[in-house]
Amino acid sequence: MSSSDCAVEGFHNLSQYVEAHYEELGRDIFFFLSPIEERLRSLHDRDEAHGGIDPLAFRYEPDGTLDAEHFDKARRTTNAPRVFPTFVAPEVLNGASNSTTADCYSLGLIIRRILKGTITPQAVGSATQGENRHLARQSAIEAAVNKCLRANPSERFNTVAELANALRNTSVAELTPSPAQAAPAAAENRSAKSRQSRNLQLPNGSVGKQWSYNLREAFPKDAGEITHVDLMSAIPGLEVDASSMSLRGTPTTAGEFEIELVGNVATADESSAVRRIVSLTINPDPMSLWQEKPSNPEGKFAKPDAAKQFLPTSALLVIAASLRGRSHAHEGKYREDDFSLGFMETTGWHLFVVADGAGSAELSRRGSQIACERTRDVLTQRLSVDSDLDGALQKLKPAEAPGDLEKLKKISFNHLVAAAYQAFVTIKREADEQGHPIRDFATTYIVVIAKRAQSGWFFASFSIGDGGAGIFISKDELLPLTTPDSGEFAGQTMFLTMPRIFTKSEHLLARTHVHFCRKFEFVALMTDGITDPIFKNDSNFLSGNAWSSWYEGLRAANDFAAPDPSETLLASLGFFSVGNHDDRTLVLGLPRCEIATEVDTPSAGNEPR
Amino acid sequence: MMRRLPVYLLIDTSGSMRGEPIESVKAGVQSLISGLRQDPSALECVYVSIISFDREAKVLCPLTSLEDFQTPEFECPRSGPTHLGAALARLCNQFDEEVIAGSDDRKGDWRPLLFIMTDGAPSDTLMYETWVEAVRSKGFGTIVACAAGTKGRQEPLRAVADHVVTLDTMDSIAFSQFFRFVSQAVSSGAQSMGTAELVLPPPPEEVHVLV
Repeated sequence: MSSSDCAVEGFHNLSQYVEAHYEELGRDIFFFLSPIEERLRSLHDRDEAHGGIDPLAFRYEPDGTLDAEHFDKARRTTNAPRVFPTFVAPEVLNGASNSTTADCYSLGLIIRRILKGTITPQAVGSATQGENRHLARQSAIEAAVNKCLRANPSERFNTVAELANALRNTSVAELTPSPAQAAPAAAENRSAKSRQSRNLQLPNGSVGKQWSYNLREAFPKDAGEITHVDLMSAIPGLEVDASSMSLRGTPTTAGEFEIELVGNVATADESSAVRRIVSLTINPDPMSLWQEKPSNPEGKFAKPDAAKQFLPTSALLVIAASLRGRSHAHEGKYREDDFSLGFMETTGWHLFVVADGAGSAELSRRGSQIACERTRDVLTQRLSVDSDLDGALQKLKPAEAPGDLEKLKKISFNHLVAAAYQAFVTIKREADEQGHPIRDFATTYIVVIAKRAQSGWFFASFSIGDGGAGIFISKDELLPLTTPDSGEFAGQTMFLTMPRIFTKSEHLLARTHVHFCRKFEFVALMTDGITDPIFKNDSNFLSGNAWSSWYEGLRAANDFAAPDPSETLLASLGFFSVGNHDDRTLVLGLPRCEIATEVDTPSAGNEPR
Repeated sequence: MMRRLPVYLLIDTSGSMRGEPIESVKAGVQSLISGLRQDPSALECVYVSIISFDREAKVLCPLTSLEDFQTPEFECPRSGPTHLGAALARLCNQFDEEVIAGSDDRKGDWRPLLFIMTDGAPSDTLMYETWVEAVRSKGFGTIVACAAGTKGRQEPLRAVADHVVTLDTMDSIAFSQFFRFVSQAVSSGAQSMGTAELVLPPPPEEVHVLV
């Protein structure tokens, strides 16, 4: 495909040139022909052919000056497929080599098209209505042009010089259109315009996506046998495939295009061509439209656009990352997700919190931040010294007394709800100070605490809203730490900032999960910026297989043994997923070694997996 | 599965819209569509449907992605009634068939947006009153009705719409301003990911929002 597409900045293609210099061309065809004659003469005098004379060879400055270099470069010496086979002399299409007389054929056809005004102005970028203007039939020139178009090469002009001389010898009087001939053109214009208001719309395409269309369908069924179809203007990325008579390819430029199709019906006579004007819309590639604008670091409750943390403990590698989503980046808005991590050396408790500020809440970035920080502070205070939770955990023998786990659940619940409630109260206080209703700070909330005990790991969680957390054991076993909250329509989420959350205690207890497992691969907390693209729906979130594939992907993209694995984790959160452009936050906890026996051996096996 | 933002446009094609008004509406719809195509969130999730109404309600375009959408031809009869009630009925049918509710296996559509454009009052008042209730309880994110021109009646529209806007004139400038407003509202919806209530952008001068 020629690289000279018609949308080059500052230049006119042949259609635009004809449109712009309509008057001059009508008076004197040499306005067009002289520069061409000049370029071709030197070739034809040496009996060399140009071989590539078709609309794409012509590029003009706005003042009508031919881009000579471009014309020279359009010479063809190979037999690569052509965009405009109509302009190629029949013997060359059938395998003969290029010749000067074949050049005359092409040139003659172009002159005829210019005079007939059938090179339609092409819309590039935004839709413009083209008009089929008909220059009056100029009989003398027509005779010369007809001689160019003889199927038998020996009946044609041999060189451009012969053609030009023949044209020069026609008298000036014959070049002026007569009024009678002008009138049919006007009526033609009106019906052409009304035809164009109902252009055939081809199916839309998109930049970067394969597209094809069977050109025969553009013409009425009774049009006869169409042997090939030409486009009168080019669409970047698309080509006519003659064998299937289709227009196909991968568009490279977005816009609204209007193209004239010319179908050649079975007989060789030019006048039995059929024409149809079609419109084609090419959508832009969405990926190319996303912008990245940094948020204002001096603004109210400003938060960095990305955050990460690596917290290695004696029992776990904890890695966290939080990245502003594309939709916020496009607007220069703040990241609304947040997270916090904690580890209490004295008691061995880990804590993880993730929170997702509501998109419609003006100050939700602050809400999520308070939720994470306050929770960390409250739980750190409660769990750094031995508590009722540690006592109950020590007594836990789940195999013998399943009721023990229920008891642990209630004790955990007390601690976790206390933290959640404190977070709520703190947000409320800040909202009051700021003179805002609490809903302006709306945020979801997931908190998980975990501790390695004698014979395994204990986890407890409490959550409000979307996103999710879970413990991945194997592809056959996934222990969920959250239960979904979703309404009939997407977007009806529950938030930590809704007071009614805390008023119904039986519902509150349902927000808590506890698990005890001998070993696990990893535990994860994430906001819906991750659950939506990775798991897509609530039932898939419970699938061990889905987690297993996801884990494989995570291990492929990250080296968890690296000095700071949170860097690559953060980078990996930037993946593109159509329709999923929310902030993304992920906390991973990977156990340092397997629990093989019932006896806790704290000094053994502290290498990461 | 991607969450879609369905947008329904109800367009009055009664006799009084014939000529420049409907041509302006068509141009407005075209620029709405091409404008939305430049917004990456909208291009990915917005789906548009157009229902016209004069004597009868016609689905000119069923819910179609922005990528595939092609602006239809609008035809106005020479004269005749404005059956907005029938249009609301048709809209409810389309809604039931097309809009996807959330389930365990699939994330539902965002709350759809509805824009109604009329230059008169509904002629089928009984039908209209019956179907207003149905439309209001369907679960649209927001319903905006536009009363265009001097004959545009705001009062009946207040029964169905959250916001009623008026256009003083029925020329191409007024319509294009209205559709620019629609475009911003839809973009807002696409960007805010449909959470909670859609906050409408401020309307341009030619478009007056009634409280």
